[in-house]
Amino acid sequence: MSDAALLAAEGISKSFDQTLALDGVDLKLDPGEVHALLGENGAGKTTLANVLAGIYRPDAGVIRTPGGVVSAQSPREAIAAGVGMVHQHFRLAEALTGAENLHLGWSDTPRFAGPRLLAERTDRICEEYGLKVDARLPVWQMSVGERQRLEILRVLVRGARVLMLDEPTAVLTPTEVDGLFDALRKLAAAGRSVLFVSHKLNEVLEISDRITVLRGGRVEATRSAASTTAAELARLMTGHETPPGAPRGARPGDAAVLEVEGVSVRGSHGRRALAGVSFAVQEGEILGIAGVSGNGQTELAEVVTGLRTPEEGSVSVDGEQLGGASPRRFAAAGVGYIPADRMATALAGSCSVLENAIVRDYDRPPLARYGMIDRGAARRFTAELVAEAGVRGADDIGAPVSILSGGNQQKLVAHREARMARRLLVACLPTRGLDVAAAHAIRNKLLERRGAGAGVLLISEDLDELLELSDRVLVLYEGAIAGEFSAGGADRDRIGIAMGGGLRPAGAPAAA
Amino acid sequence: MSVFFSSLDIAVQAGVVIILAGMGELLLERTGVMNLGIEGMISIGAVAAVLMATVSSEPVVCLLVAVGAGMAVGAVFALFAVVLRVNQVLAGLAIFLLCIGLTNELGADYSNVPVKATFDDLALPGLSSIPEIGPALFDQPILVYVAYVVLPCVVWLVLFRSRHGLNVRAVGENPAAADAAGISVMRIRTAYCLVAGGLAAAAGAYLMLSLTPSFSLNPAGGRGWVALAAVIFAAWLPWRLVAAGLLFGGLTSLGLTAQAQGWNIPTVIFAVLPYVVTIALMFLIALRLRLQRLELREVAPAALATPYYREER
Amino acid sequence: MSRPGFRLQRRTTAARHQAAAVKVVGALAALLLAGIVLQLSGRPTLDLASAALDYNLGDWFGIEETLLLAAPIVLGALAVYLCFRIRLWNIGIDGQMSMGAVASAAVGLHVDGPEALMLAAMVVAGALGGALWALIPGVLRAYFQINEIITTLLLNLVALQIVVYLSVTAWADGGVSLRSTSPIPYEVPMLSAGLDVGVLVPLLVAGVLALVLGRSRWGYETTIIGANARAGEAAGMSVRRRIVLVMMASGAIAGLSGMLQVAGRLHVLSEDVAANTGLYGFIVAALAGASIVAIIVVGVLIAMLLHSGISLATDGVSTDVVVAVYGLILLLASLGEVAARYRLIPRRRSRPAE
Repeated sequence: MSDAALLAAEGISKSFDQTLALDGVDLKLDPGEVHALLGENGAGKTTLANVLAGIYRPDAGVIRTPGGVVSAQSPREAIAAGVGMVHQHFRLAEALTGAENLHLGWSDTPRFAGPRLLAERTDRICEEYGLKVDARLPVWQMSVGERQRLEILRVLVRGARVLMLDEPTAVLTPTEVDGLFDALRKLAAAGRSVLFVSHKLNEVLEISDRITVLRGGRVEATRSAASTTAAELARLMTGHETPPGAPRGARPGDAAVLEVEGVSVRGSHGRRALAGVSFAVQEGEILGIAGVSGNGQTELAEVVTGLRTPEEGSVSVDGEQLGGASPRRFAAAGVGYIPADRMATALAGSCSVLENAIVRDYDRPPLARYGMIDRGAARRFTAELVAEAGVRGADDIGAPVSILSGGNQQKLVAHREARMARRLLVACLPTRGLDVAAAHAIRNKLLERRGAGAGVLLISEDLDELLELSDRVLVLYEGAIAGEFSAGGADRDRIGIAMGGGLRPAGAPAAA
Repeated sequence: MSVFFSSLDIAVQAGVVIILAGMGELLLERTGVMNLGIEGMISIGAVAAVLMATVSSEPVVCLLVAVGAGMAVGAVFALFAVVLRVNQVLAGLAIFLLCIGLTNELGADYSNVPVKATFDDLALPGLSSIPEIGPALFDQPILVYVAYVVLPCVVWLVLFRSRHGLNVRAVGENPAAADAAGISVMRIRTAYCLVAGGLAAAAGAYLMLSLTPSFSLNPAGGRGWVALAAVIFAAWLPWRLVAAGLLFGGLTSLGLTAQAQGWNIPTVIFAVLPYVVTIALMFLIALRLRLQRLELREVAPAALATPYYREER
Repeated sequence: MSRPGFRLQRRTTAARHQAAAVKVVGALAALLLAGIVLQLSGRPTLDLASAALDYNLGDWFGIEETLLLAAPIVLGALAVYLCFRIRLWNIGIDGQMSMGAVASAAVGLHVDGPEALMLAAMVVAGALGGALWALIPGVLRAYFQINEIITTLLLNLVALQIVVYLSVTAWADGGVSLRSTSPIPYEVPMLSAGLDVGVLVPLLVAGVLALVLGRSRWGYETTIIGANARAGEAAGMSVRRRIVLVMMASGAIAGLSGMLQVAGRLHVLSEDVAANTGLYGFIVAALAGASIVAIIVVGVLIAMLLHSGISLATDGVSTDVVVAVYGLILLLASLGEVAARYRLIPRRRSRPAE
């Protein structure tokens, strides 16, 4: 290893349950470089970053830094060795302010300090690093971009020479991504080393100097960005050529399945999450909802599935007014829901595959008889559902659903919901975190519903996915529709500007 | 003293138990740990003080021994609830049963025997000579001043004006965030288990050395459960807990006054009043939050009663 | 680089057999520890243990006494278990039992009628009394997110004061006893000289619960809501109403248990009606985990321990000692659920870096 490397990992292995997530991985980070860690979901990228950051303890392997060998047993030791990480799911205390989050656990924080002093210190630090954060605002009120800047600041002020970012662009608008890339280039130019963890080929090629590709927990190759191509990287990532895009069927029909008119709701902490949103989904149409998370997407999905009552406005399915009705009424009207976080909303993790499979059908024949559940019928039903959905690892349908892999859990949910979504399927980030094959299966499920004449409301942060699948795309910004685009002639840049609030609904020129 | 001021005198003293024990619980819950053993820890403090008082007539020594015993119980609780990450409800109730059983067994021989070492009243120069108010508020055992002034000041300063307090709050809000920032979640939680145990035991010792100086079975008498509820309707803020303690003291004192004055109201009303009011107040707080479009869980430390595993995925 | 041998690894699902094994070991360790402490404090543990066994199982009278103690503990445990299914901690069994007893005593003392009809009325009153008392924490929890542990505990204290007031003052006997009401004129039929039909009620309730929770739509919905309330809501179940209903059903079981005390073992309303049996029932439910059969078995064992404490009072062991031992058992056995989440695996050898 070269003496100049800021961090060198050798032979890192790590397993969870029976799966081997990392298998003898080597990685070297030089000063001044942006190094990408590229791989599909499930390739072990995040696990490797977590090992380097001291969050996970490796089963085997060594990590060297200029200070010597570290066996980073805790984030504290990793930080002391100059290694800091910005997690995909930010590690911020939401109830605390920006200043408080920046100062917590930091040895430079004055022993006794009130909110004012911490805020002043924070303002100075923001200025020094050129990253803007509101020191006095509680984190739960911050935009995702601002939270990310706060996370980066927190790592930098602790003297990190190696900055690791896990999928940092997943939740940013295109404008914010440009800002982030500028900041990362400046950090590298100042002699730091940046590890950029991503599964997006184009971004990786744009930002990094060297690229290490992980596949199945092993290092497939390390290339310099100048000497490789997107095609080569794709092959290294997946082991085969990229599959062709999914086929598209007929044009949408004219009848509206879902009509949302002037809907306003409040989200957590009493904050207004949707303000006067109106749109319609036609039969046989996939309507995409683009936007940075936290702009009302979750609340929108909940309003059109009965989980949240609108304060104002109406929601109707096939012309029947259902706003504020129970989820049961929505289900009876043929509305299915694939939520963003399956373990939080769609599945009961400690319950069996069977119990989770029948959740939409248990209350009517053939499964229900005289208030009891026919166990034989439930077993047959489940076996059939599991087979149709292509769920693997569910041979024992009495086993807890949590033992299935994420992809198989999602296939189960998607099939269960698509089955009952005769009229409308609401899907929130349905392919997030899935491997390519599972994501492909889920996308086909959405297209199949479209082909069958149902409407699909697809809420996603992944612009590529939205443009590939949707007939139309609406942009949600701060709880209002900030633009409508037809998928055919959609202009990525203009959608990006609308996601950042640069487009006014009236079509006023972009302020960004 | 008039009836009102003598009642106030009693109210102030009775509130001390809730404030001492509740403040420990408040701090501990701020780190994300719920301690249902508090009733037992108060009891252990009481019996430890009573046993010590048989060999020492110095109340401060008895108090310190009780605090030590409480911290020992807190350490056992920490071992199970924090280090071994057992379910906090089960660990807390187990500690409660263990302590209440031990307390009643150890104290049985001293039931209704007057405790010899008691705290003298400490008259604050000047203030205590104000007519009526002076004797009611400023001629009290030292622990009263500690509970109403010193402790809440210290807790407020630590929680909201110090680096350590920031770390404490972060651990209770998001242990993963605190951990990623290099704070040892386990160390902080363990430390505050000891603090909570010590303060609860101090409350028990105060019962025996000052408020009702003779041992009886189940010496905590439900005050631990009230302290738990008081932390909720104090919304985890130290000064509101002081108010909650004084209110509970007032309700207790009302019953005693009624008895002394021979008011013609069934005693059961006064016996249940503190608990009923406690429940009603929790309800009112939740109702008020509802009007502000907030939920109780959005005010509580976000990680309350959740064990922290670093490698959770 | 890595050490040879084994290490602990956390897994995503719990192994139930492992949990049960650790609980048994934990409970035995707690008994052993208690025995050592007793021995050190000058009480011959082995002699005490054999005397305790003799008191419990030595003759029919001992067995009857144990079963009489076990019945309300098992009923309480079943009520707690029902709440566990929906992730509620009902620590208010004692209070619900007391209010059930109050309601049924009110009927028994103040209404006249044929015996069978009156017993039926008392059963209904008891169940209703317990259910209504549980309604309070149920509503506060379901609609206002107020921790049910604290409210049920506080309501225990309120219920106890009400029972004391009624039995000592309002409905006091005036003559025979200072601490209880006059005898309830209606009695549960006897099975034998010492046992009434009440000891069979826990088995009946256990059977009904097993059927309802294991086979019915209602039970399925309750299980799903307990495992993930949000998933239940998304699937169209009304979570809040179910929380209140489960709490009330649990309170009804406890109230029924209170009625059986008033019309059975005690024949009067007195402050001994609950006597912490709900708390002991809670321990039983926590130890037994998800098995109704285990609840019955563990309930009888816990009752034997309690009976030993009562019987050995003259030998220097008291119910207080038993309560402390309960705490120790619960503490050590609570490791079961944690241990079930780990497995022991061999360490991997590190690969040489290429």
